[in-house]
Amino acid sequence: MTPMTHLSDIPTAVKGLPRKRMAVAYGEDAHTLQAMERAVKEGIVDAVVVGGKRKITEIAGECGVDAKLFEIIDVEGEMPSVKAAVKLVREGSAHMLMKGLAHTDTYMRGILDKEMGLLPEGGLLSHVAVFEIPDYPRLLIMSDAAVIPLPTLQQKVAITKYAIRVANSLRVEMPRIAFLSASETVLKFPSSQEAAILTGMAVRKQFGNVLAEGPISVDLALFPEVSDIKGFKGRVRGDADILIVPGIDSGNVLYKAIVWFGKAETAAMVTGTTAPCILTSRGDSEDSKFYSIALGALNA
Amino acid sequence: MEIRTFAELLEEAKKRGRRKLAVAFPEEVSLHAAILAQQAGIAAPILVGPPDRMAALLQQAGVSAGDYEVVPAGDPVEACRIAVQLAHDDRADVLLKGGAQTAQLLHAVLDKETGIRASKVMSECTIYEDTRMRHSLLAVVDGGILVAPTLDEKVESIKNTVGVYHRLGYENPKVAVLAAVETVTEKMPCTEDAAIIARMWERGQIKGCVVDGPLALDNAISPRAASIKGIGGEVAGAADILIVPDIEAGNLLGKSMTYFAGFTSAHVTIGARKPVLVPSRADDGQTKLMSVALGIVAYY
Repeated sequence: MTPMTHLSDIPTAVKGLPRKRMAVAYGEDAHTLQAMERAVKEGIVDAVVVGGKRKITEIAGECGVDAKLFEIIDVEGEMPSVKAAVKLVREGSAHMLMKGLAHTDTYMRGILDKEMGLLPEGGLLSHVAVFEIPDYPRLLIMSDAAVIPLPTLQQKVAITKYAIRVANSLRVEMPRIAFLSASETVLKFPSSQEAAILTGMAVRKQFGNVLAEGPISVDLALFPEVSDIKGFKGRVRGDADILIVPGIDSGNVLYKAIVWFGKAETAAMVTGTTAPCILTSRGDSEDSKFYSIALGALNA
Repeated sequence: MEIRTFAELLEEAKKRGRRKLAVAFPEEVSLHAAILAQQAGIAAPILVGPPDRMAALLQQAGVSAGDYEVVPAGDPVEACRIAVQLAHDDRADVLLKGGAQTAQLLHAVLDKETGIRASKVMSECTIYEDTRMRHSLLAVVDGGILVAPTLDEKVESIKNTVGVYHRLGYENPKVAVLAAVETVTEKMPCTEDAAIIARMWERGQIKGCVVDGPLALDNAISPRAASIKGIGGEVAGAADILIVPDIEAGNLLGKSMTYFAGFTSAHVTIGARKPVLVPSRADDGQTKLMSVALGIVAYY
């Protein structure tokens, strides 16, 4: 099994799997309906949209989306729609969740609800992004650049495990993990020491079949020529599959730099939940939304 | 050639000629050590204490007073100060604690103006002659001075001990950072320190040795245990230096080697410009003599 190298490999793989059903929470906007339509038409998912039926039909008409392609469950209001969509996933009649017009806060509250949400006992909600960067020969996974502001060491362990699972779903059997910090030298600040500890765990096979290196700076992790120049002899040298970032601030900056300077395309989802949750933003490209849905379906 | 037995250690010490051994406020225990070292031909003792008392002790021991220089000092604090002064002025090569308290001697050693401190951290290097398994010299650090060592102190104590092993002819001693398990867990902070120290070694921040950790004692010294646990690397099953988590572990491990395994030990405090010997009343003659020999070989 060769690892996937393009985001387009994800929908291709999904087409060979049993069709998954996606519940769209509060799908009362054109962006969401269009992204969903493409995924349905290309055979990635079946969809059920939760929200005001009249409104959804009207918007579908306006933006040229065929309303017969999906089921609508008529629910009035943002929070009730989110709750109803989450319930569909909870009950097993949908395999994954997608955010529509709902605010991220509302969406997350629905997912995190202790009684009626999608977070299992001991689970940790975290965000996994997959990048296709034109100059990088492999798909690059990053976590967590969006959900957990200041992850503890224990949370980083969970984040790493989820990211490994996503890597495995992309057919990367022995992912190379870079625990990022500002320098490869072990220094006194927390991200450096935690990266050293996490690497120690990986060396002792506590993450299973992986190769890990940290603390490591992002240039050493992604560019073999930098490792050559610096004479860096690590288990990861310019060939990382997974970047575990120190925190949300550094992670988010790196994420956006990769997208804008690196001209990367992305797919992303929320993990740690009982089913994948898609959290696209309106700023995402059409392709990015499509690939995110495919990534969710692949992991559902 | 690596020194692998105490007989070889003593031979090596003899090659350095008689070294001047300043004893701070001698009593029976320290005088016994000085006499053994004098008779073995490795030391020329300088007894720093009340002259009449020194004369009485020598007479009681039945040795020739002519072989022992006496430098007058009224009380233990003064004796420590003078003995350290002798070392400071290069009129003594080795310091041996007598009837002064350890704290009194270390206080004089660490004095900024008149002391002989060299390293950031003073640590105790206790070496056991393993006559059963590996027929080699095995160090336990630190079972004497560092009570609850910080990460920095552990790193410095490794550097101190590696320096001693280089003098003993071990080019690249193998250092195991011990814990109760070989996996890394937040529940046992010493496993995290060990993982960090192992990464620091990988990054070249600790040189002249090979470091791995965390390792449980069995993985560190038994190739069979290491192989059953699937722990690779150069250190597992072959450690020369055992870095223990704290003084309790070091003390228990050391005394187990002495009393259960019957290993003879030698111990020297490292981190000053000259070797500092702090004999214990329970030390037997062999330990007293070998400690002087170790101090000499470690520094000259």
